[in-house]
Amino acid sequence: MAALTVTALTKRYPGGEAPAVDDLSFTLETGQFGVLLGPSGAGKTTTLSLIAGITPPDSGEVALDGDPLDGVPPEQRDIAMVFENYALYPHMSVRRNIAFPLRAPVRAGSMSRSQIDQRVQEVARTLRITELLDRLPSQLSGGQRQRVALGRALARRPRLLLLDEPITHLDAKLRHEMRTELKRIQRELGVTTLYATPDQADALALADLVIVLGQGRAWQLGPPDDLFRRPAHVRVAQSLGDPRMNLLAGLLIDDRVRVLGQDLPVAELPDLLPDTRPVTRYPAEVLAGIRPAHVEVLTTPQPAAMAGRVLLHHRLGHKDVLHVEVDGELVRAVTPAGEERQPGDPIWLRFPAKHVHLFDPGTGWALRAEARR
Amino acid sequence: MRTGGWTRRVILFCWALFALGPVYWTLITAFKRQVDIYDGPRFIPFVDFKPTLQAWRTLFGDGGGGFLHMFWNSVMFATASSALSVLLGGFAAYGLARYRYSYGPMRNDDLSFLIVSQRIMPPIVSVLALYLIFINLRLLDNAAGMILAYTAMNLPLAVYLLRSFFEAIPVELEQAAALDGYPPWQRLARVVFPLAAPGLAAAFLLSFFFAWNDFLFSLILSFNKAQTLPLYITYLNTQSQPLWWQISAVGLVALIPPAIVTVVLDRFMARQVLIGGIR
Repeated sequence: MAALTVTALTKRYPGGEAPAVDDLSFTLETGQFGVLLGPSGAGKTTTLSLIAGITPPDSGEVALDGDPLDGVPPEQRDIAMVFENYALYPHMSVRRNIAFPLRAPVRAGSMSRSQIDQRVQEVARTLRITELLDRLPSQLSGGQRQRVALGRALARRPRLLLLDEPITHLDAKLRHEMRTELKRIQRELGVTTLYATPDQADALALADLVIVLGQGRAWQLGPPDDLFRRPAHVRVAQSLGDPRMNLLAGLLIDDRVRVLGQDLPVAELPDLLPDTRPVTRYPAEVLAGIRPAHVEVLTTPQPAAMAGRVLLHHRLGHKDVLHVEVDGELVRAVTPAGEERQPGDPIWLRFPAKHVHLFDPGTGWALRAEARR
Repeated sequence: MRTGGWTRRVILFCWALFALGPVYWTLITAFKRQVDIYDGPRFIPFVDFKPTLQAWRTLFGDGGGGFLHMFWNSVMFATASSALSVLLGGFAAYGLARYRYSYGPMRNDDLSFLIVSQRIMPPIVSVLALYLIFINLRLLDNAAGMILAYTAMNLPLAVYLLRSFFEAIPVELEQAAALDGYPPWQRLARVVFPLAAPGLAAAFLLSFFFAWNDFLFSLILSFNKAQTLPLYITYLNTQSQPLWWQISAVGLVALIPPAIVTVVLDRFMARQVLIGGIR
């Protein structure tokens, strides 16, 4: 069942040149974890506050469990949100912060005092913050505040949980831990969740549905795996995957694509989304994208391999990233860890055609190339 | 550090002597007979003069004139006008901090300045204008009129002071309270005002002191029913000779209400330290 339906949502701030959110539509099923992925300024926070009802939309509709929410004030939407700065009430203890939504006038009489106490204890146990209950927010670390904010949002079992970059400001180790925790908690409680983040790792790790947001628009939405394998737009290709996809100028001639002097048969290009636009004019200039992990790195000259020079050898521990200069272009390639390479070493690269994506250099949309004689 | 501690104590002791000296002098004068006041300095009760309750008997007895009435007036005017200033000023300041206004060329900062500017001119200027207005509105020598006048003088300061307090409260806290199920008024009552408590307390204190210490407004806008304590003191002074023992007794009584207000509100002002790091 569709828990959250967003239809043609549009918001333009006074004085803003472009709309902050532009004709955004998507659907989130009950219990699903949706991720709004986009850089800062993409419209993530605006989207969340439009759904929460903090900001009124210019047009478009938000519906929760089938009920349209236009004109419903935020306090009656039963949507919980974790803010980027956590927004804990500084004058209340952790216990009172978590109990605050349970004692709200809109839920007056639905829970007794002892039920509230019990629920707070329960949430504190789930989030492992039982020993912090009597502290004030100012006495907590960033990670602890984040848990308390999450506890406050979850205590009342909201119909929808909105998370605005909740772990962006934590240090790397904690971020990794909290990512796992979030997934566990969300699964345990089965709450429909929409999570805004600039971090593609969050999207790949957490999402059932990813919405790639840029300039207020959704460039593509779908399961993370799908977006990763079949990006519909160059933005999507670039925003998922680390290190980023290589983008190189290519030329489409009849039945092959020429990239950095290598000819790739069109017939072997990867499987595309059904609605991908076909190329209309041949020969066509295209952007050819290939993920660093798919670049074949060879130490000896081979047929159809391009000669290059190592610029930089970047160790990640479990794998290495090579920056290679080929014909004046920079190509990133992932290699197994532990191979010793010096800047200036000669190296050969090969692009397997089944991993090469084509994009329109003007609009950025993915292209379907058909073999022509 | 030990010597540092001692210097500090000595300095504080000297300061305490300096600050409390006049209070002590007022205190002993209130218990002196006329002869002990005019007959050279006498410092220590029971040693160089014999204390008497003469001043207090007059004050609270038949000879006190309107003392109790004026004392009550002072308490009531100061309390009511401060409460009004904080309440109205609080809402005005909240509006200036959270909403964008546009009246002709006026924006929020202009409105703020317009409000504060009411306090830039000397009170003597506004009191003359108020006098003329009050004649027409029949508010002269009237409790409501006095409260109104003090509120008008205190509002600008309250608004100015409180605006910055409200601006320091992150708007996300109110949004969080909205999503947590609290309608607008409850958000103010449960989140915004408690967090602005130190500012509200400070604004109340300043307003209270202004109204309590005021002489000018009372002198010009009241002549009988609505007179306040400072006027009573001047009456004691302008008779054939200053009645120092009575003046001192009134002075001591006049110290009590502001002291109580300060002690009570100090708790709220101290909350700021406890809460800390709002962001």
